Amino acid sequence: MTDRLHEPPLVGTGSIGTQPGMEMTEIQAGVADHTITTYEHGLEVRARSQWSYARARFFRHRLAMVGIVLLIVIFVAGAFAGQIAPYDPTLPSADITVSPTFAGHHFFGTDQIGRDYFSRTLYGIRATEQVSLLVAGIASLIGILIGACSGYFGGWIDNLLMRTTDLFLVVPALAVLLVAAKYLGHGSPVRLALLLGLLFWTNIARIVRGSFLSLKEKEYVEAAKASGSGNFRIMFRHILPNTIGPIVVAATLLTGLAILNESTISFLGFGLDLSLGTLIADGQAAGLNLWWLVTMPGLTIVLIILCVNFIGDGLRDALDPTQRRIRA
Amino acid sequence: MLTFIARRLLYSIPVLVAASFLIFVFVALSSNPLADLYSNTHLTPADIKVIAHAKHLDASVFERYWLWVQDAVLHKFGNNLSNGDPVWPNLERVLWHTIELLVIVLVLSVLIGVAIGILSAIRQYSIFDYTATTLSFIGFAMPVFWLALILQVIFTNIYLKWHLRIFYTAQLSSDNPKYWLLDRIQHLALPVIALCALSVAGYSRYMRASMLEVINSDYTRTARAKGLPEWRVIGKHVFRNALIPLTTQIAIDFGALFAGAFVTEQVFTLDGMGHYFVVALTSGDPYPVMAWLMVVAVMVIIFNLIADLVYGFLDPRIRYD
Repeated sequence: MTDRLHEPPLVGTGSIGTQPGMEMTEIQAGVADHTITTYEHGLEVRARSQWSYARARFFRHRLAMVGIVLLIVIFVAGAFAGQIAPYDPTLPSADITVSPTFAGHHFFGTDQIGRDYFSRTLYGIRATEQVSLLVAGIASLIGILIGACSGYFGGWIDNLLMRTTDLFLVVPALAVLLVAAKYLGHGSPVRLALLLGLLFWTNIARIVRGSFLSLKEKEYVEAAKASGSGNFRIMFRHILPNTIGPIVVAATLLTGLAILNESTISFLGFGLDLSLGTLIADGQAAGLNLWWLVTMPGLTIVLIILCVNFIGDGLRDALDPTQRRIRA
Repeated sequence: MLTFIARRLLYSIPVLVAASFLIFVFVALSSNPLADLYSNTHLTPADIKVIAHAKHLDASVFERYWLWVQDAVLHKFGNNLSNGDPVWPNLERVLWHTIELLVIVLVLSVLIGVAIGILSAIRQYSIFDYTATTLSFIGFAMPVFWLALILQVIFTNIYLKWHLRIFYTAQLSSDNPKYWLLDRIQHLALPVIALCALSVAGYSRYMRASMLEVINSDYTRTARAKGLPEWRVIGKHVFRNALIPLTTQIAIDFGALFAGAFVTEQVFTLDGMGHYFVVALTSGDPYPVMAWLMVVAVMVIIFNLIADLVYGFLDPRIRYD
């Protein structure tokens, strides 16, 4: 049996008329974005899709807009650290222990062997941003796959998910991370990101599982089954798009969590060689009277995570209006 | 109730075994507790091999895990592989230090967090509410170790500049203090403040949200409609019901609080569980690492059990059977 539901909607060729009911919703959803209903000349009503409502809600969220602009500035600065940084991040210089000043471009001061902390912070941002974005990607991928299978099929994969979640309830994630990071992730952002991703997928998986459990009972899934769609197609073409909102929100907040964990691991000396956490640890080792070495990279972390959380809140309001606004 | 407790404890045994096996394999396969011996010029590689054999380091990982289980159950986690010291006395000492810190932080942060949450909810959108919201947002964004370090920087610099000793910024106690309690408070104040900031941010937000939900519920309207005074509505009807979701949250957050204590101890070089773990992990010896993990896992399980029992006390509809 051919899978008619997923052919492009044939507007105006009579398909709506010949096959009412089943195809109506899909065709309307597909066309709604572009339909302009003309009532009278000059008085036009544009039908708006769910996405355009979500977009409008997001752009109205003032804190989220501030957050996204700031975060883009910070991340672009990190990505182009090699071009922007006024000094070499590892090269000692004669300007030792300069407190933050605009005069010599030592905006964040220098450490006890004269390395410019502004340049080092820029490189630190680069490492942090690599790790956090990778973690969000990896964790979302694993979480969506396992959550979808566990919600849709149930059975052993569902068991695996729930038992893994139990495991992390008992053993603190930070301890597991440190054990693993000591042997696997040392110095490499990609490996550290893999580790964090392999640990943090459970949250997204639980969200996806919950949505799948309720959505698989819906009529449109039944309709897709009746028209002969395979399990894979139903899961990823029909159900998944309806769970995107909560996933995006969770992935955003996970980015913040990844940054916090990465900097903690690096601070404890089991992580990267040059990241914001390492810079703070270096600052502590250099002596507490050089306050800027600890303060400046730390403020950068706080700023990044504030932005990420604001964006997450904005996305939650935009994409997931049913969820209550509790930040726990 | 007793059967409930017994069943919960029984259920957690397989989880403990699985977690311990995974971690053991990980640590045992990837590190060598005798690594330091190679730099010792008095020992030949053959000598080290003999030592390794005596400690069963050349056995398969399953045998080693089984030996560890025996040691853990029969000999209080056995002796360190690296230097032969018994594991338990050291671990017991740091365990009590960490429990001391955690209990103080939990009590203080729940009291403060609940108070702020209630005030924010009954004066929603007031200046107090907005200030609390802003501060908690900043609290969420701050890594604990950084807040701890900033406190350390501030109080160290106060001491360096004016020779004013308000709080100590390292260690757990001084040698031969004059007033033991005062000395302990001066030492623990900064770690407690750093840890409380994080928890208070979470608890106050959570309390505010659940208070607001109860305040807008039908039975609160009923309570007001039948003419109860406001303090009675809030104190008796709203407050108690709002505490229920908070209890769950505190139990869930316990792991995060423990991780926070972990790094805070590291910053203030407190002789606690976090410090112990980092030293053990650096030495690559599976015995102290494993003992630490088991103790922490049992702590988490007990804590969750207590939270469940408190939950039943707050919500009489819940029956344990």
